[in-house]
Amino acid sequence: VSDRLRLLDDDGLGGVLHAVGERIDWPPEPEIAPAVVRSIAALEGRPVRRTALTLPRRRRVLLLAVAVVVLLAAAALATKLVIDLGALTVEIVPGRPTSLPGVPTRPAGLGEPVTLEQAAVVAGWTPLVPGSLGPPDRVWVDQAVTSFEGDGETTRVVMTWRPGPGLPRIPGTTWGAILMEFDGTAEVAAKVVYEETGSIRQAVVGGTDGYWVTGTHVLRLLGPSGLESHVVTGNVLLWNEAGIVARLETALGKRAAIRIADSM
Amino acid sequence: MDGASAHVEGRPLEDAQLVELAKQGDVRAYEELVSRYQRLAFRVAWMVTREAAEAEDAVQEAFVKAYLALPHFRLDSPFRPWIMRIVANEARNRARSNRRREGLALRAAAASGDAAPSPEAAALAQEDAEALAGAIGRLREPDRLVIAYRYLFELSEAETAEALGVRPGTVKSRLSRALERLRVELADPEVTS
Repeated sequence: VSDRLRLLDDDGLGGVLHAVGERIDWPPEPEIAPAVVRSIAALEGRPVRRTALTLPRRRRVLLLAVAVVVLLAAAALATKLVIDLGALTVEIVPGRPTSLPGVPTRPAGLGEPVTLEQAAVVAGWTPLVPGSLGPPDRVWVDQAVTSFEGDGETTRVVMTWRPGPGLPRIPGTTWGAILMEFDGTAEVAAKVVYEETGSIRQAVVGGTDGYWVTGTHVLRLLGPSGLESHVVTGNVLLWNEAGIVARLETALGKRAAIRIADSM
Repeated sequence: MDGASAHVEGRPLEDAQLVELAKQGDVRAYEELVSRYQRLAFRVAWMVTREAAEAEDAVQEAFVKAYLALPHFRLDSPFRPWIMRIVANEARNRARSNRRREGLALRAAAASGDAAPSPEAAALAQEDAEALAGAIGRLREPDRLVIAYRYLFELSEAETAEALGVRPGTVKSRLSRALERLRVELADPEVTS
């Protein structure tokens, strides 16, 4: 059997595979649409019928609900709070930092320097590029960043643009915009925002909830050489674009940053 | 009467019409899209995660993420490969976290199911079907997926490119390499497993 099949050319083998497709013994597919609609209703604050959500789904819906509450209540609470975006988390802690890392966000070293096309091949997905910024000046890719907990991996692509008209330099860096994209749910980056020196607000990017972080704060990143801590001097927009967690750092205001994000 | 229910008495709406309604917040229209593609989405997710419960969760999450991303979806693009790409990404994330490394238990059933098979499927010898299904299941995920999109799910080359997030010209070469590795797997199951 095997020899006969192996001798077929691509077209011949393709034809047989078409027929195989009708004969595959697939597992029975579940009814997914009702659970999806309930999740969307929960996200949009509509009444939700509380039946048939699987346990993992229920946990995620709860996490998202908690994230919204955090935005409203963060300033009033005196304990550490966490917004979980999957690959990236934001910790909001009371008070001000006693010390800050000396190094601002430094994209170089966060993976292999590559072209945009090579990044897509290595990452296995096409990095999202804001059309309003044009092609990035530099690109780095890290195919598998092991999480803080060591229990998973996330792919990371980092793109940078030089300062130019309408794109001022981020203080302490040589760049006008730094865009990090994470594909995965294993936590490999954490932001620490101190209530007295930074702020986090809701932002809507293309209809999707995002977060706008301003003020000096700390970014902890897992890189090839281990954990690195950076002081963030720019303003940061965080959002989720079709499963990709995006982090855009610029010296621009909120509206301008959202315009860039909306051009992806 | 809302937009999605308007089609009930007439012919089904096209994907693009449902997407347009969903973009305007019509959740019933989106539910119709999910119903339309949940079977294919589940099979794609299962081919990546190799585990049904994990695949179900990945598909649910992917459809919710896709709904949130609809404002960025271009109406002149096909919905099917776009959602398949999101599903595969979500499933891949879960498969990575799972760290499962065993192959996919892909099996061929005898040609006596409820649906009438095509003449080609009916003529396919059971041992050939079993050998090929088993070999596909033992391939690496990228090879498995390109073969599944193109042949098992019958996506066009353009749709396959969109679903994989590659240029259309890349699909042919990827497919050719995947078929070559399938031949190797058929010859010696130990080589690529």
